[in-house]
Amino acid sequence: MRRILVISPISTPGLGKDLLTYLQTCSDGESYFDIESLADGPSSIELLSDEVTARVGVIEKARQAAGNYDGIVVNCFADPGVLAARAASGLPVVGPGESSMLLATFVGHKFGVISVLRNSKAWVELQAAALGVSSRLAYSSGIDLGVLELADDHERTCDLILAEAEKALDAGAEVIVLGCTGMVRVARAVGERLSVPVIEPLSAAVRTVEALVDLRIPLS
Amino acid sequence: MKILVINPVGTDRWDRGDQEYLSRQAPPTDVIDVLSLPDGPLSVETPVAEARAERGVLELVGRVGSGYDSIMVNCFAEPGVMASREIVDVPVVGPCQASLAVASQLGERFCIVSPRSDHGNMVLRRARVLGFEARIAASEGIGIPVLDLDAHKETTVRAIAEAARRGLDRGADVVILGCTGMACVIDEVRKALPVPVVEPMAAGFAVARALAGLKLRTSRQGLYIKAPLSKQTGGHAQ
Repeated sequence: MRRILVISPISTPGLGKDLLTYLQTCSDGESYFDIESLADGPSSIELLSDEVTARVGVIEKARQAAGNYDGIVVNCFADPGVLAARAASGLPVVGPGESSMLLATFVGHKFGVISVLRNSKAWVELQAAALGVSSRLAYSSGIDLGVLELADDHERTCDLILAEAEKALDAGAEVIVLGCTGMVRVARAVGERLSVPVIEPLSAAVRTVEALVDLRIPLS
Repeated sequence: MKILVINPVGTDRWDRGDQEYLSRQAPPTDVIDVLSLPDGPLSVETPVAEARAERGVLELVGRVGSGYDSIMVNCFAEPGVMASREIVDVPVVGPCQASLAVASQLGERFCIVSPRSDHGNMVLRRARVLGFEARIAASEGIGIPVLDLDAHKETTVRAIAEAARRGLDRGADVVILGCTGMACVIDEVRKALPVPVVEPMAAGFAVARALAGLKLRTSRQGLYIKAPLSKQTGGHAQ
């Protein structure tokens, strides 16, 4: 069994107990998951300053994980601290943002990312630029809802995502990437109502960390 | 999970070894079929060989591809990968793109080490198509043809390590082997280098597994139009 640490870089419950169940659904069944959140993290990550607030805690958790785990997932599309966590842990560290955008490029030429606040358009562009996939990003936007508001009315959240997804397709996207791991609960409904592949980023991160662990690449 | 690995060459000399190698990184419940082409080049090192290999890959994918959860074309030149996405709905993965995706999550800039000295520019061309050129620090050849890679393994390892170090001097922090035939020396190469080394056959297979696990299908929205039945056997008129 692979031992995977999932760091939820927030101090609020998020999906709570459902998170473990969901991770197991995403997995190929050969992974054991531990979940840790941050004692002094942000309540949600939707601003640049939230991402900064989360980073130190993520790095500390990653440092402690060395020796006890085979790989780490940071459970937020903004990938807070992922880069530093690699150096701190010496383990494969996967972010839902990077892994979902990379996997999207295997099932379509261009992808679109639909996230939360209106700052998402520019923020995702910066993420794509850092990753090196800008030429494959056709569209990015937010639905103007905060992370903690996503669960208020699933129907409405789903409709807002679908409306933005249609714009993404018009802009040349062939694959839709959900730009927040808080969208887990509406991912299936969105997928069923679109004719193109929809990637839920936490599931992409789980499958990617499993792939990286299986590759057993020594990380000096 | 059922994965098809296509060796896009007209020889089965690598099929069994590759099957054993990939089985070691998958649960025993996986079915991994490694098939080569009934007719094809012995190796894919020139544009001409690549064109021949592509026809064979399309034909094989059309014949058996839809019976799998995903497909990996086991050659760094990725012959027929993009075109095969028109033939089947399941994901089709190439080892070059997969290696770039894996390396992108291990480090910042990459050195790709290819067999022949004149491969460097072909690899850079592929990286441009895939949109990854900004991540490439160096693309180096070692002057050993594919069919000779396992002839004198010590020579091959030394040549790969030397080329990789030139890449490290130019800022690379991850090395990608630019040929799936280099899997035969991966352990020795890793011992000789101070940075992570991505072996493309394993990377292609791992990404193919990940996509199959996510139950993703190729999008029909833009580039990859589904080929009509009459063209799904690789373009031969029936």
